[in-house]
Order: sequence, then C-alpha cells, then structure tokens
Amino acid sequence: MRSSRFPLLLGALLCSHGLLHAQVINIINYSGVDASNFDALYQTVPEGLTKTFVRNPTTGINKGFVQLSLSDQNQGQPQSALIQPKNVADPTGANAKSRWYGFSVYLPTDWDKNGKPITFAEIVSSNSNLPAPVSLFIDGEDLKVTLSANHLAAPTAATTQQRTFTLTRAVPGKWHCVYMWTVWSGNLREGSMRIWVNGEGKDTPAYEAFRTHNAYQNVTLTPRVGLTTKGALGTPARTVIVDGVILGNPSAKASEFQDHMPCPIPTT
Amino acid sequence: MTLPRILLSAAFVAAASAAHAQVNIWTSGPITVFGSSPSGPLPNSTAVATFHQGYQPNGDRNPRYLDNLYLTDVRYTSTLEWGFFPGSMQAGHAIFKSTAIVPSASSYTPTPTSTRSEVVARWSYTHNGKRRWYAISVFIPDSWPFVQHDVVVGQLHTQQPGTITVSPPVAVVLHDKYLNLTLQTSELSNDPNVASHIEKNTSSTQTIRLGRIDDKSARDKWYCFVMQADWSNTPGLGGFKMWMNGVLKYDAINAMNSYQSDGGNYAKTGAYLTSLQDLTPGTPYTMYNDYIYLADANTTSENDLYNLTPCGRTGSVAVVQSGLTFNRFTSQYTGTVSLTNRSGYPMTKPLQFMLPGLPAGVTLANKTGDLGGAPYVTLPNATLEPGASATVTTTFDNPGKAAIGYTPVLYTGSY
Repeated sequence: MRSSRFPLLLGALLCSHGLLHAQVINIINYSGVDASNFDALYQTVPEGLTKTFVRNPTTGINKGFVQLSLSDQNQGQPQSALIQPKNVADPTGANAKSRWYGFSVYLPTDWDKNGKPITFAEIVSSNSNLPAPVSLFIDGEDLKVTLSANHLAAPTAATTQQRTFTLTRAVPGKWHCVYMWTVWSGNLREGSMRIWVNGEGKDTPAYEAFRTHNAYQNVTLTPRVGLTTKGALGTPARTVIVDGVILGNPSAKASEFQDHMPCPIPTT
Repeated sequence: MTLPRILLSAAFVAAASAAHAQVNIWTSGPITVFGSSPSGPLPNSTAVATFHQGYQPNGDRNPRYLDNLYLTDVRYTSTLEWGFFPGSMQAGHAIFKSTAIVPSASSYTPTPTSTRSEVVARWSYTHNGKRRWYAISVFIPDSWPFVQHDVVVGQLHTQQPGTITVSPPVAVVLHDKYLNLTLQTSELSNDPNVASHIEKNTSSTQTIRLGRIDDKSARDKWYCFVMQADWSNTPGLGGFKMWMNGVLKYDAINAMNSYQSDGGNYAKTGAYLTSLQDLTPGTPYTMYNDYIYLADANTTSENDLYNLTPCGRTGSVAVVQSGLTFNRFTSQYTGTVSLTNRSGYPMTKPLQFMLPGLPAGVTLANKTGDLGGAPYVTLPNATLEPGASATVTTTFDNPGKAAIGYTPVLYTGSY
C-alpha cells in the first residue's frame, strides 16, 4: 500500500458544479476522510450519527478512516450507521456511463463471526422501496454480495431478481477491499459489471457480467459504506472501520483502485 | 491386553438418516457396463419404465449399460475411459477418465477450434417452467496443466436447432488457476428466422469465481456441484442454486436462466477444451468425472444428491465397526463391519470393502486382494438393496500390537 492515498475528486467538484457525478474526471489526490473534510464531502445515515476518525489499524499511519458502530439495543429493528458521499446520483440506462466504486472495510480482531449477516456497503437506488442494486455483506466467515435488478417499468421488491454469492473470505483483523466497474441499466440485455476483491488485478475479477441488467429503470444510484441491518445483530454490538467511498469516471483504471485502497496488493 | 481400536468415521453414522427417495436412479447415476446394451439403447418413450422393469431385485447382476444412461461425445483424438482412477476411492466406484487431447490442426478440415471428451445424461432434458436437480462431480488431478483458456468441466446445456449456437445456461469452467461458474441466458426467440433471435453475443453472460486450484491442496480433490434449477427464459422468473462441496455458492431468485428451447436443458460432464489454436498439438488435458445424478422437482434437500457424490458419499453407506478380539492361538485380531446402504438405490455386485490407511505393520489376513496399495474384501452379496445391510469379517495380523485404524470405503460395481 502506498503511503499517500488518493481516491476521488469530490470536494473540488462540489465547488464548481451542482451535478457532481457528471464531473468526476478521475481518481486524484484523495487523502482520506477526516474531521476537516467530512462535512463537505459526506453525510451520515442517519443524520447526526456518532462517528470517530481513526488511523489505519493495520499500519498505525494515515489518518482518513472512520469507525462506525451499531449496538443491539433497539430490539431487532432496522438500523444503520453509514457514511454517504454527497450529491452522487448516478443514472441508469441510456444516460449511464461506466462508473467505478471502491469500498474498504476493516473487521476488528474481536469480530463475532456467529452474529447475523450484516451489510457493510451498498449502492442504493432513489426508489427506497426496492432492494439496493449492490449490497456487500458479511455472513459468517464469508464476504458476500447480493445483486438486485428489475426490468419492469413498475418494479416491486417482490418481482426483483436477486443473485447472492461469495466474493471472498471475511477475516477478523484485516481490511477487505471491494472495487467495481459498472454500466448501470434496468433494461434487458443491457448493463455491465466487474467486481474485484482485495487488490486483485484487472484480469482476475471475482465477478463479471455483460448484457445483464443490474439496476432499475429511471432511478439514480448512490454508494454508501458502513453498517446496515434489517433486524437483530445476533451479537451485542458491531464495529467496523471504513474508508471513504472511492469513485472513478470512465477513464479510471483498475490499477488505480488497487494502488489506493488499504488492502495488500497480491504479487501474483 | 490392550485391544486395538478401530477408528470409526462419525460422519458415516451421522449422515445415515438422509432420505434419497427423489433421486432418479433409473435415469442417472452409476453404470456397471462401460458399453452398449446388446439390445440397443432404450427408446425415449419407454426408457424409464423399461429400465425399471428390467431391473431384477433378486438377480445376480443387473447391468446398467453406459448407453442406456449416457451419451458420449468424444472428438478428434480425445479419449474417454472408465475404471479405477485417482478419485475412485472417494467415489466408491469406477469413474470416467476424460482426456481432451489437442488435435493436430493439419489433420482435419476444417481446423478444429475445440475438442471434448464428455458424457451426457441421456434423460436429463428438461423444459422451461420445470424444476430439476443435478449433481456433477469433477476430480482435478495434481498434474492438471493450467491453461489460459476455458476448460469446461460440467454443463447444463440447451438443446437448440442446428443453426443456433449459444453458450450453455450453466457451465463450470477451469480457467488458469480459477474455478468459475458461468451463466448465460436470453429471453429472445430461438427461431433463426426471427430477426432478433438468441445468439452468443446478445445473451446475458455472468462469470462468478468459485475458487482457486493453484494451491497444491486444491488439487487431487473432488469438486462436487449440486444444482437446483427452476428453468426459465422469461425475465423476472426462474431460480438457480449451486452448492459446491456442500456449501451454497450461488443463489438466484426471480432470475431467468435459460433460453427458449424445443428439447430443454441437459447435463453433461467431462473435458471440453477451447481455443485450440493457442495450444500445442498432442497435449492431453485429463480429469476425472463421477456419474451425473438427477432428481425430481419434489426433492426437498440438496443433501439427497450431495450424499451420492464423492464429496458427500460418506452419507450413503452407514458403517458400524465392532470391537476387535484377540485370538491367542493365531495371534490375530478379528472383528466385523456392518455396511448399510443408505443411498436409496441398489448397490450392485461386485461389492468390495476396502481398508486404506492401515498403519505400518498391520495387514488384513483375509483380504481378497489389493487395489491401489490397499487391501479389500469382496462381499458375497450380489446386490445391496436400499436399507439392506451386509456384514464383513476383518482379520488382522498385528505383531506390533499397533492401534488399528483405517478409512472404510465400500466400492460398488466393477473397476
């Protein structure tokens, strides 16, 4: 991992244009999320969420990570502790361009693998009644993804297709990095996606899909990272450390994500 | 006196209660004769009934001919064999050896672009709108020659008109050091006269990584795939689940997974090698394949099929070993082993009880022979019916008074 970290251009874009997603030109000079830039770049879900800015737990250097927690005190009700980049609303279908996203989560050494599955990153749609097109979650000792999409003009959760599979192992005391390239679409035989994990190279995605619809028609999509559960945690509390969401425009490269995320880069 | 002890595999007993009533053993599973039925393949319309009626519960031998259960597809110089090979120990019977050999381009016109050595489950064709269960198992040897092209080792393919060429709805693929699942589907017509009909380059394509095989511990190993397909080429309808080695690896709902097809989808396994132009002629790509198992829509558990595969077969035979007694006159240890068929289908003659892994200095005094360095005893039973038991006596020479342990294996059929 490089000592300087630089994912996306969020701050500068906010200053010059209202539609941030259309202005992202590439991955540049990102130094992590901290108290000085958080409010300009991110919002919490829910609002007013308690968050802690921390150092990289594996190296002790590089500030720019956020610690988020949930407790099981609310009797199994849905709850979240998320950070979400402001003003990111990526279109689907004819207006969609290829888009890159990077998510990183650190599981503490005392992570309880026997707890219930819990989501640590999502790409949600503007229709909150529908499942998130991308939901990354920890289930026991596995890091899994659920991909949801619906080609119908009036989609419902009940008619939405969902595909769930394992991307890699979930290991306490380690960073887990997922970066993906997408062309969003809610139309049949349209849409593309590639997903890589833990710094693997561009030629070895854990998942790839072409001509496969991967979202909904007439929605916009927003990434967010942190903890989300639809019910009980199955353990007294959950804590993770996350990086900011890394975004890239069509000219971004897989190697750029690989270089700028806190996971070891494989040598093979 | 310290009695030697037998190591009893707990899994054998724990899994013994699984039910297998929905597995279509008359349309899939083991063969006992690697050849054609003297009376020819059974006709489509009467195959299952005829096969069933032809089975004689009390017969000395009930042949299950290759061509009554499987079609073979062996191209160019590739070969398909059947017998005792690496992986047979876990399978408990003879298996297929599939070798895709790169043909010489100059020997054929047109130049081959792919070759294959596969067996097709003859009665697996299933239409859209139906649920079907499948089990396909592949043994990847340590000597596997990694190749930067797709080697398809198992497929749920689609029957199409001759002018239509599409990739299979489901394929298990070796690609370099990765084991992948690829999925293809389209809602378009399969009528080639329709302007927008199904084609490879317009179909939805997904590739999901299932695992890696570059580590030595990942080879010389069976990979067993149990699949439940709710076939559909209608958007928003259909489902597919795959378990690999007993673990759910992929789960899709409300997701079409097939093509329009007149004949339906069918299962096959073996070695299908592509992109031959980049490979050296004569190079063999060898793997081993177990029988294909099929099950009805009303199957309720993936374990019904998993327990028949080499990965889960410990559940198909319940083994109960007695203690051993020492005979001071012969200086031998003697005990019995009870074997109960929990598979839901008859296990056919010859039945061989194998004892691999005996400690040094311990030999089986009453062995029938040796196979792969391990002794075995041939059971007198012609056939072990579902639920039936057989008892084997084991007598050991053990001059060093070592603790006697081994991994019990019941082989069925010839090898």
